[in-house]
Amino acid sequence: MTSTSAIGRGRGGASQPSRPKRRLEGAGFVLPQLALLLVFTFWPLTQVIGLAFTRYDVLSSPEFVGFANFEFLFAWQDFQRIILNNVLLLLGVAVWVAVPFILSILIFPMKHATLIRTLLFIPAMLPPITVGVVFRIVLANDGPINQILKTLTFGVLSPNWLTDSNLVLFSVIMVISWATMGTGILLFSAGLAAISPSYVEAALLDGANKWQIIWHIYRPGLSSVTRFFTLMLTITTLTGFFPWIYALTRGGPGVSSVTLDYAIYQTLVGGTQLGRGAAIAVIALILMAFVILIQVVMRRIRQAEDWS
Amino acid sequence: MLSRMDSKWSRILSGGIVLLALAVVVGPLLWVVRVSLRPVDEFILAPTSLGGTWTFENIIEAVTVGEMGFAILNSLIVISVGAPLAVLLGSMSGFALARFKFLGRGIAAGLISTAIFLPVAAIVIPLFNLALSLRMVNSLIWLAVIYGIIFSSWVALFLRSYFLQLPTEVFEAAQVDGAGSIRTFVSVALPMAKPALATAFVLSCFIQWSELLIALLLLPNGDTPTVALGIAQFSTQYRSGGPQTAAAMIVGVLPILLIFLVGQRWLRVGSLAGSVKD
Repeated sequence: MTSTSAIGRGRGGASQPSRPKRRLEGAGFVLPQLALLLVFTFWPLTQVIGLAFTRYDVLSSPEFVGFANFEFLFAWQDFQRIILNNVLLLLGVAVWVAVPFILSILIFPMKHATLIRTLLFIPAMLPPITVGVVFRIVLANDGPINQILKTLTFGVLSPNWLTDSNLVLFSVIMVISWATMGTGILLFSAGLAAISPSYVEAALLDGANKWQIIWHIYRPGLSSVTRFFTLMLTITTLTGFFPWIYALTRGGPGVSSVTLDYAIYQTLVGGTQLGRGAAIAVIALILMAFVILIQVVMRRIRQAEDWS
Repeated sequence: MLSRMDSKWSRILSGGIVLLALAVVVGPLLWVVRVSLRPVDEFILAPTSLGGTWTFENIIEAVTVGEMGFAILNSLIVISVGAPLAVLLGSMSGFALARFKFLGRGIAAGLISTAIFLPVAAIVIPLFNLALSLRMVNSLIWLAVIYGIIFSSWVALFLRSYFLQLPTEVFEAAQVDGAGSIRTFVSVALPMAKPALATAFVLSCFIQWSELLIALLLLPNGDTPTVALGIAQFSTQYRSGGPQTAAAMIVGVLPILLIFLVGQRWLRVGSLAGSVKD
């Protein structure tokens, strides 16, 4: 394979550390991964882009149809809802970042901080499909949460968390907040530990209050962690929702919790509209590129204004 | 720090918030554990009751009849191939990107970073076709190889940032002593990167243990389910999500929790944030 020959070349470079060979040396280390990624991610990617312009099912070979798949999708009401679902879930990012941000600041000075953080990290160690199963049980219509709510409100409140089309996305956002909180707390706590206590001491001497300290010291001090976590979660909303949705709602009721990746899976299971599935994939990719573009632009602006 | 200026009331308030968070996190887990230890007929009669009989029947059934034992074995096979592969590929690239200047380095770094952001769902159709044409559909090892490759890109960036933090002098010393680049990588860089390698390995195990979409498509006949597939099957069979599902989930999650537990003292999850530069 290419990889072995590349390493061989690298070895040659090591024995004779002349300049041009040194250049190949590093390349030899990168080549195995790069070659495999090209074959197993980038080549499939070009395939998908091609398939998006075809009518294609498991039995017949792809037939070129131009933009027909895209025209269909944009005219299709269910697809508009699917896009809306992704946009609404994107709003969840604010919750998923804010909750661990606040909790990590609250926990930081506590006596049993390590123990508390360990307990809160448990959900982060559960595969998403497991989290889905946990909340299918806990949020069931006759489950414990509704039992508590019913008792507290004398039987008035007993929402169908996962089967009410107006509520289901809210439930999904809450469940994912539960699942990602531990990771967030861990990241923010590492960030907090890196902030020198002398800043806080100085601020206290100057008579700053708690909110001023959070806003003027912790927020900028944690900004790189916040950006990393935000980017990570934003990407997840576009790429990694499948197992959660699969376990929690199967996209239901109707299409009210179908996300883009779940929609692709549905076309695959149906097996008759693979071209349409590929078109959805292309739209997801465009949205992803858009998110990354925004991130890059924000970074440029920040660098230009030196604003944190 | 912050606590010194806290008034009594604000301390009570923050304590209350943290207690609430603990209850919200631990409560559902305890509930599911309890449900998994209840007899099915008692659960159907009173789904929200905490009392009654305790039994290991569901757990035993999940392992034997429900094939979760078999699924755990399959997932162990997958991660024992896939996780080392991801760490190997990622550590080699990470080392080169951190320590060498070579032609096309920028392009290599760009492609590897792009691969992190690519939605898996977007490439599953061709991946399935590829497996079909190579007669690799329903092969666990093929699934593991696919995992090892497509989940290797973040490892590369993560380890790159770790290798960048290591002092240059160590590598220069190795070079002066006549170590070639492979020798430097194996005997200097890798041993120094143990915590990062452990983190990358444990998280790779977790990612591959959890993955559902590719597994659903590449293992369609269900003869060799991974744990994620096994749990998914359970939740389909028992839509209501009763004791059997809870038991299957707990059985399926214990091995990965064990891996976290064993790897915990080397884990540096907090340093992940440093791997994305801004």
